[in-house]
Amino acid sequence: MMQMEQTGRQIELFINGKTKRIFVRYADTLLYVLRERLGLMGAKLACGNGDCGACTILMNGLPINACHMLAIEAVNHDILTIEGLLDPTVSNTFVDKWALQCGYCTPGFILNCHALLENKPDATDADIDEWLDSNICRCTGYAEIKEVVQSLLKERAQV
Amino acid sequence: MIAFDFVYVQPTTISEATALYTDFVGQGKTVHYYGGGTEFISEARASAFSCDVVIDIKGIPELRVQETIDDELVIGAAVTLTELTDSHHFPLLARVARGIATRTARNKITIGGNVCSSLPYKEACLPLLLANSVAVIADLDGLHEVDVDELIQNGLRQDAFIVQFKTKTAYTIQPYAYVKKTKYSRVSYPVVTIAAMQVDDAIQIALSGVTKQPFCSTLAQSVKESVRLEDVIPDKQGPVMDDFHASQAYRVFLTETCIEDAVQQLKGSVT
Repeated sequence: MMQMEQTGRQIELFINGKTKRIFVRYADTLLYVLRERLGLMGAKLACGNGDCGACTILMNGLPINACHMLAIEAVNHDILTIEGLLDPTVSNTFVDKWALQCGYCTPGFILNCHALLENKPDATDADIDEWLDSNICRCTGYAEIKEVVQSLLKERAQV
Repeated sequence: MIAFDFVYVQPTTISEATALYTDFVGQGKTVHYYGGGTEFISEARASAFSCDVVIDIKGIPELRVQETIDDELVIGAAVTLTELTDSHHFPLLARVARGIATRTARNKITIGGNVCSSLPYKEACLPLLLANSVAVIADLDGLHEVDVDELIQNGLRQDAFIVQFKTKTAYTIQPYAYVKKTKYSRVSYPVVTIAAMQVDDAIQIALSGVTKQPFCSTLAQSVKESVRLEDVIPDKQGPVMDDFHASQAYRVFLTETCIEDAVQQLKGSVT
């Protein structure tokens, strides 16, 4: 009898502070599993190739393009999607600074900005440019988005 | 989405990885060693590549080190480009790594993956070429050391994976220069990337994006004004590339200009 090869399995993913048990194909990307299997539609499919940052999630606090990793690689890691970012500071500042229009790239930008603020509280303008180069926006001119980060860095430095 | 299915295994030792490879190949399977996986996913979803089995080697501890042992810097092949940029072990390598892709992508791209890339750029190898680094390779016969230059020229066998890169620490503190030119934006494949290092009285340069593989060359002592690219490219490298990013003629012009920029940077840093 031909032996079935295991090309997927039941896994546990730790997402937004909760354990999710789900069967995945090994070939499934994390973005597909988040959106199509877990209903977490905040991470967006745009380029699908790790170039635009619309699918940015945080893995152990660092930005990762969810389209460019397999879901199986996320096992035993702490995954945060935009739905799980309960602190509204960054997103409120996006609104205050008019740093979004259509909003499609915004979840990815917000998570990247949040990670930058958490990981590099002393970030320079060059650091901000380096981090935000990971995300593409077709609507704004990026200046407002950069202002979000600059203003929050300044606020935190004053605290 | 990736349209083909594969078996996925995660060994935790080098011998386990090679044993799995042997076992699956013995069953007639096509097997791929997997590190950061970014190029794998890009090619797989474009149906440019497929395999029956993926062996994810990121969990092997030797592939994740960044440490100095005696007079050698040892960097594991699964160290990410971001981990390289954020470390102070080898400043030129950190600088070159920072110029590759985007920071978010660098959180996943590994140095081993970049050096083994199927694309012609392999920019992370430039400082390793300058520093005469060696790669520790694991294959079915065990562990071997290979000059990075030889690895770039001959490629990596299908049944092998890179474990670590070893670099004499004396090279990691040498004065250096870095120039990268792209067609459109800050984040892009290079028209040309140059890393240069002053070693004793000589200037060594390593170039990516010029020919179909990166290469290293020593500039003549007499270089003061202009450089002719034809004097710099080894014969075995083949012609200067002509593609979407730049014509051959423009690439020659730009590379010669950038070599002069790199020399000036070095002269400025060695005073």
